Amino acid sequence: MTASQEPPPGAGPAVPSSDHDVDALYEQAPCGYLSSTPEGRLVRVNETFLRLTGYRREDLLAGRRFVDLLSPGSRIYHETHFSPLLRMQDAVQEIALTLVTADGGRLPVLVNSRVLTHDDGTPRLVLTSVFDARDRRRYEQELLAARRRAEQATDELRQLQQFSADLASAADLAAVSAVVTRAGIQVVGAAAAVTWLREVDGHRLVPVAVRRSADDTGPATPPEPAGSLTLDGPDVEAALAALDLTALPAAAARQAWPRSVRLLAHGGAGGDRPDDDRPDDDRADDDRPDDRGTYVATPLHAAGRPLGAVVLRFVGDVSAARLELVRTLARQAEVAVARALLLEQQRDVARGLQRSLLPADLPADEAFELATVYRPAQRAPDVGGDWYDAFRLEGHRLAVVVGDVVGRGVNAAGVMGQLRSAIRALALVDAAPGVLLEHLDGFVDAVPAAACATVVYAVLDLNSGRLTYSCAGHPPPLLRLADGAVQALWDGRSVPLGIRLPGRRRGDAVVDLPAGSTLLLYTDGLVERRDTALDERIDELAEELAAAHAPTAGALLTELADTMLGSPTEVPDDVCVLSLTLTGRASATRVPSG
Amino acid sequence: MTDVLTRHAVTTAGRADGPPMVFAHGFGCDQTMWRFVAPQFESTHRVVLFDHVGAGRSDLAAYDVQRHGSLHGYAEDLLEVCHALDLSGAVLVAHSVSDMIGALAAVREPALFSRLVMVGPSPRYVDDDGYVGGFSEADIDELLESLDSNYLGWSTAMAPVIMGRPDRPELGEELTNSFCRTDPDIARRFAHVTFRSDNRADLPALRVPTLVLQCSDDVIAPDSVGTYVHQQVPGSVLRRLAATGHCPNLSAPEETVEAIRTFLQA
Repeated sequence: MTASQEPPPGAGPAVPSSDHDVDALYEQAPCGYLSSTPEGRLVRVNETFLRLTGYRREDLLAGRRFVDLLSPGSRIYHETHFSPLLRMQDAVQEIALTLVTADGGRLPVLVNSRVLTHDDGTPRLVLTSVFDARDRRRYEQELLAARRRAEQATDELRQLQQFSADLASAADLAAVSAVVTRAGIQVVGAAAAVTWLREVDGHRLVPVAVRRSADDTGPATPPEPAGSLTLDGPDVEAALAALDLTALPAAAARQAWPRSVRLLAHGGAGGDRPDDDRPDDDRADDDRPDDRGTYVATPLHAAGRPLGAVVLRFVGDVSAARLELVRTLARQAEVAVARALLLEQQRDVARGLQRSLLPADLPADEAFELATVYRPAQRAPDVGGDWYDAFRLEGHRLAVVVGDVVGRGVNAAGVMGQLRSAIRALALVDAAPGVLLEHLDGFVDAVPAAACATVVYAVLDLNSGRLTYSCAGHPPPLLRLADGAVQALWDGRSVPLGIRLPGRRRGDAVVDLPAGSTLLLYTDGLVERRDTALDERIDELAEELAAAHAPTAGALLTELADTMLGSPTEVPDDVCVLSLTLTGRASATRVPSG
Repeated sequence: MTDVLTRHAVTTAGRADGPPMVFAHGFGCDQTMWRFVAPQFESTHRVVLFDHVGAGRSDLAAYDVQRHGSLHGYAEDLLEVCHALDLSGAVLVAHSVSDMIGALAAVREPALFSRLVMVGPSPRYVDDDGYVGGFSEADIDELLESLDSNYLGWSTAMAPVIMGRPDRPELGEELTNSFCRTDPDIARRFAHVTFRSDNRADLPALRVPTLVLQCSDDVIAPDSVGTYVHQQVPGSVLRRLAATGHCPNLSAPEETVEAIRTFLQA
């Protein structure tokens, strides 16, 4: 120990000179300090490093390399990143590595290294400081874990939003069920999911959607779409009432849930068959050792009634967080189910209305063949304003009508019904077609919503084959002769209903229908196209009619409609077609004219 | 084809009409790791350097989890680079995992390569029955943790500035740790692919004349592994270097260059 000396100027308060001793500064540095050759062999280590790691100086300096003190994973990192960096840069900072201590334990450290070079730039010595980073490593790991959790939560949120979006665009119960089941797998992470819904009559629960995750190896869920249960009304209620949102392992689910609910879970596959008459207890003993799943079942309510259930099978335990997620999904699903039900109701009402407004039966006779095609526009739940009608008149005559009211929806349907009835009533008075249409103009005064409706009204004398017709603003009927020639009947035309032009009367026209000929009445939905002139389309229709060959009148109309409309699934406007073919045969009941 | 060249930040140097020599960097770095070796061949060869997708100045957006989930994807990338430059009969100098990538590429299209130099190869890093790769599964897990704890030169805030700004050459100044820079996710995946791969079965199919350069004391690719590769690749040459460690191209460039030259002249 040297004698006390005056501290150098500017060195601060007096410090015992022994603590200025460079060796002491080195050995007691607040970090481990190593010197090694460029190849990594340790040539000097300080006390702090030995204390940190528990090694003895003589062991380390006997040819050990720094890399030998690292854990295998860190060793790879050292060779692939740390060492090359030192070659390229002369210094690296804050590299996180893991040292293996003398007793075989792991010590997380932060390492700085620096290369000292010869005059010619070649490396001569590597200085490395090693900081104990246990706390920091722990903190980092917590941060990493927190970040992963946050990422997971964001992911989940995104999936939930997607689920909501998918639900919003699901138009019917089947689509809603499919979305729910898919979410059960993809969002909640179930291995299998089934959405059960009650059928309309309430007596059957049907697995509407079934899904399994790609790697699921558990017991089979009910095959879709067949495989339903027939439960009596009260059983369905009881089954659904028994469900609450709990997670039960398979065995417990078998015990705790009534038979009906167990069947929900297993769906009649394997030992539980719907027609299995054995008492509950016997069946409960059925062993399904392969079923190690945990079941979660939640009911779906709409309008206060249980409507169905979602049953999920998970591998392993189900956390409270996951149950919450299932609850969230179920609540959203219920809203979607309620909406889908409403839509279906509306569609049913519309269809019912439509059915009631069109004639239930068409007149039948040996002398003629009637066929119709009615395709409402694909915009649910509206009803359309097109109609057809055919009815007998006194004197062995047949009236045929096709018409088109302005607009769609229930109002238009109502107006259409009134027009139809008005025509039938007026026809009884035996007015000529033109006069009948003039009377309809008066009708429109009373029912303004019928204004601008178009109608073609024709009366066929079955004895003579003569057709008298009048057309109020409606596309011209087509006549196909037995030899295939087609002509459009452009005569007898006048303006749409409700428009009276001064000095103009609605007239009739007359044409003879020979045996084997076909008269075609239709609405503009059959021919109207945005990019083509109406005339051209009518010509097209005439060509198609000429070319069409089909065994029956009905088949002919279907073929015609398919050809003119292109895709049968996209119908932008209502299409209504009626064909009247003269067979040439005599009527079964021949009534004298007069 | 410019697409492929940009995607891999391909750089060429040396004699435009010379025989082609392609350098493929290994795991952890980029093409600049050849900076002491590649220039030595510029007077005799058309030297080509590139970055694997995810490394260096490659187009990170081109990283595809499916394609780059296997070394075959990387091999396809290498083949695309060769085709984009219209190379044939090239010498491929590869390091570490690129040794296997190169082997896969050479097996698929042998006409593209005349010679293959493998620096520190290993066809499988994890021990197996009767095979010593040098590491256990747990060791590889630890490596992945190391990758998670170190973000060499990578900062998401800086990334848009660093990548793809050829119009701002002042930004081209090399940033610290830049040559080990990569997206942490990609690094993790690449580590997974590299250290969990097994290409032992691909070696016997290699017909391109091959040189195995084995360092002393290479903890990543120990001597027994180098010997194994030499035995499995028909007609290959094994050369043991005095250099230690895993990157003789950085720690002992002269020895490495000399070994390659000798092999090419043979």
